[in-house]
Amino acid sequence: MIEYYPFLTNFLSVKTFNNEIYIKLYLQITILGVEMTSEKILTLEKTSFKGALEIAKKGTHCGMCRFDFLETGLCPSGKKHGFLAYWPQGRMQIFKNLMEEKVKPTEKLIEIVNSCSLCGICDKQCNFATQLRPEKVAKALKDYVEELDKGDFQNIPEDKNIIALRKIVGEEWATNDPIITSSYISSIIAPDSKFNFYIVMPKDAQELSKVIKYANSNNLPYLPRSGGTLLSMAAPTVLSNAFGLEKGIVIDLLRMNQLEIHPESQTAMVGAGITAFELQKEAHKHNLRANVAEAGAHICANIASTGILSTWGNKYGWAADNFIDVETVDDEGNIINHSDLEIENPYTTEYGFTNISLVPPLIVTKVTTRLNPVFDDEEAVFVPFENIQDAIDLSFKVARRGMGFSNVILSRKYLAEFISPTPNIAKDFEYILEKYMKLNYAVDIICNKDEKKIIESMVDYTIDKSTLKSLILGCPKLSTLKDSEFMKILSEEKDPLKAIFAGPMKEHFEKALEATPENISKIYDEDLQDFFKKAYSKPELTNIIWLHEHRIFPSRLMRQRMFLPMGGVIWTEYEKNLLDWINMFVNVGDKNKLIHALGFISPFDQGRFACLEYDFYYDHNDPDAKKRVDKAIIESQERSLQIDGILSALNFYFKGLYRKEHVLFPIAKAISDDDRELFRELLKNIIGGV
Amino acid sequence: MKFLSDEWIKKAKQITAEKLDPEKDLKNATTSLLNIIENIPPDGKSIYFFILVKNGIIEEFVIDNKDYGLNKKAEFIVTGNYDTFVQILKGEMSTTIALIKNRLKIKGDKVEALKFVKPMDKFNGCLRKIETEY
Repeated sequence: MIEYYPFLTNFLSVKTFNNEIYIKLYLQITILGVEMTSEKILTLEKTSFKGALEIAKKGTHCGMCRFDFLETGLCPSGKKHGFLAYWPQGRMQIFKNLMEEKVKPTEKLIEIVNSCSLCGICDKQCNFATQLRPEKVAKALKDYVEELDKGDFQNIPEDKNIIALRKIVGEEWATNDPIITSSYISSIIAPDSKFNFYIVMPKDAQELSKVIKYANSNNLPYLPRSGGTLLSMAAPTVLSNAFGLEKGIVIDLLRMNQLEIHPESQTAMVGAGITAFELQKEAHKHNLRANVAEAGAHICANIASTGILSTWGNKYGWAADNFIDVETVDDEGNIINHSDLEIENPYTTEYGFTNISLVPPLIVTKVTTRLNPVFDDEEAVFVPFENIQDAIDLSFKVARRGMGFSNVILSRKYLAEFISPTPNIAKDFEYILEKYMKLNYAVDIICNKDEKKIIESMVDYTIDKSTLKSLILGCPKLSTLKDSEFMKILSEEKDPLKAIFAGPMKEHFEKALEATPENISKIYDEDLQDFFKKAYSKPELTNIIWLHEHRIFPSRLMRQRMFLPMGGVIWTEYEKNLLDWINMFVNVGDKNKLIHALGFISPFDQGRFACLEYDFYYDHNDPDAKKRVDKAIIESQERSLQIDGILSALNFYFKGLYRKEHVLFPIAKAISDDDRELFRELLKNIIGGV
Repeated sequence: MKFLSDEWIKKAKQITAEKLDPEKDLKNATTSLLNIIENIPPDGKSIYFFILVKNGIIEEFVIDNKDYGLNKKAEFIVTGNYDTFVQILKGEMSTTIALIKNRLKIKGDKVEALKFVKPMDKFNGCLRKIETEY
């Protein structure tokens, strides 16, 4: 346990230098009862609330500050207090709410501010993913509080509901404080909501059951929250009302942090508070691997929402394939395990386009998930393509033969966004891939060494490990080559991909990238360069297999702007419709003047199906952009249903607890004109007139 | 008047009979619907709300606030909390949103039920005109 003494009580001296105020303070830390005193000089810049607000507004609730993916340790305040308000992402939301006068200061705000020691962990984590500096917002929030008078802070009295909820979960784990509540805006609470919410953090299924029973008998709606990323993607759009909570109880599941690896059965017992990264890290200690999606996705919620759609699905499965058993709480507060004998078949669901549910059918509190062996001879095979059909042919052929552990077609956009440490580098990188290299798609397969030989025999050339490493560390340099002679010469080659990845230019190219941890660290703010030099020196950050397993790069899709993933599942028997489907998204994106791109296509179930993600990118602070995204959502949903062999995203959400066979069979056919009319009506009702 | 009071029920029957056009509003629908409103404050009892529509004409409109329920067979049975029904009647939430958020549970053919959503919205819109104390 670490307890930080309140920030403002530790000032020893203050002096001004070059318009900056230097505050010398002795920070007293009590670690396991032993008092330590360390000297830390904090630079309090003449605080710019405007600058801090700019940072706060760019936050997208990616959740990367809530688990330790760079070995920095975790935000001590968030770890101790749990509520989102005490995590960096919550502080950013609170600051934004205060500046926009959506909420008034409460006495709890003082505690929230004091709980932050400005340790800087959040800056490292957030900068890796989004290039933001949340600590500047935390500093501004402290300054803001300091400027207030004692009388400015509201005292929030308890009401009968909060008294009852505290009796269930304990005094400190339920709140009706508007400041804490407001930190959940945009990740479960709609931005225009009033603050008639309670936040509760039950520690287990028993407490959750009591909370739900209380909610029902007192007419309080409720909704569970884990990582909140899916909800944050929906929040700025017309889907906000359908996905979010308009009042009632936010059930934050973070305290359910049980995690046990059982190597003998190759399973893990995972509580609802555990992220994909945390599970994968523990599984790896036993040479095992979990089927996971994004690093920050919470395993239990991810199973319930999208059934864990990952690049590993062809080998490891989807939906109910992922688990041995789940512990759930239903909407009457009953605790049910899928293994219970007396329950109705929990693996099946209604079939058809009207089966839309935007909340989990059950709240998953614990899952016994499957783990899979990691082999010594695993390799990554990266095959670049100019043409999508060639990429599809290879990926599906490999999947149908049952080869490979992970199999995905990545778009140029994804590659550039994942690898590049800043949005500008990503932009230049993508430009180079498109204009000079003609690298529009990459089939990206993790397999054993024998399979690698077979795959290599199916193609002309691949991108090898050393070039991939060079691309990761050398992407800042690559982006500077945008208008270089080297690139012009490359683009004149008959097959630029072959020339650069398997031909005479390979060596020169790798050399030109000057790919070292030191060089990539230079793109970061000066005070973070040492940290990032060390971070990029770790073998994991350039190990393609590790990166696939731990998925820390995809969070970069949410840096400083939002994206909305659309798509769904297609039967590969209807592969001929796949390009029509993609082209439909292209047309819708163009029509609505959005930045848009294919994300990925990944086969699963031995290549019977493929999952497609197509993304619309937009500035979540721009009302006009939001309107255009709304139109794109509606049109692309409707048009997806007019294509044979497709199950669109809206019909796909919250089906992850069922058997995939019940969700996907029989093959979905294009809907009739009458049904189209009905679906349009349904959409209009769900998301309103746009 | 108080929501679901005898006076309110009487007014609801009258206003829906007067204001709803069988063709325009109720789409000449023929169906039956039993709403079960649960957890009504202060004592948490349930109310049963039955509608029988033939060719767009409301033939039966029964609200039973006794605690033994209604012995009516309906094509659709919709169950939800008191607060959800109040939100729908106030126009704060659409029936479809309530369904996809699991606030309302429906028994019966979903496709057919969705065809009835629009007429039900008209029906609820009509009830909204009653000055109601919830």
